[in-house]
Amino acid sequence: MVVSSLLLILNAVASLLLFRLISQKKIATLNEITSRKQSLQSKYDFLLGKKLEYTDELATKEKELQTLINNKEGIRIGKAANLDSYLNKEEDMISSYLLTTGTISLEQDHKIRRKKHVLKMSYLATGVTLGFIDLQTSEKLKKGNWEKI
Amino acid sequence: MLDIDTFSLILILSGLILLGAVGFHYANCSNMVRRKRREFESLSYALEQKIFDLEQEVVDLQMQIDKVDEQINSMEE
Repeated sequence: MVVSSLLLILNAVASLLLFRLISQKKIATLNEITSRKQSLQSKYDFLLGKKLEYTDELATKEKELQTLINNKEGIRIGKAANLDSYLNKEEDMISSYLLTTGTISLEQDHKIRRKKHVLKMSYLATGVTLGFIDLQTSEKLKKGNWEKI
Repeated sequence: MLDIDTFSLILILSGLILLGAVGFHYANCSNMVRRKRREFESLSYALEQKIFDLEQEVVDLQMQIDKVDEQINSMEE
């Protein structure tokens, strides 16, 4: 009876130790997985930040370069020849006017043309909505005075 | 009062119950660790792909910036 009791106590102690050992191993493994995951995540976040930073830097430098080019050679419309096909519409004439006066860039013009179908608005309204054209210019051009401005 | 045999039987059964509990705990922990490891592996695969793409993009952007810098310098000279 005494031996059985001793064996049971030994069994209980061994079980508790095993229980603890298993839990510790589980926690250690989970911690290791979490730290590896965090390290990968932080590397990804760092690279994403770097990409955004470089994108901004590139945009700024491209603007700076464009300004230098414009200062040196005057404002140019790189693809002016392409605009000829549009000149039969007032909207395209407005676009052409805005491009030649340097109010909007060619890229902004393309963006307005793309977005106006989505927004279901006119060229000028889309330009104003996107913030490329100010309200005053838009009002003047809307009245059909674009050639007198 | 219990006789010795009954008492021994109860003790042995208690021991077996304890061993069973340990076995159950081990199986549970193993399953959880395996599941977490699998989740991590799939996530790490996706993240590594994204990191690789991002590294490429960052290098490309750096090269473009260098190119624009050169153009700016040549314009300023």
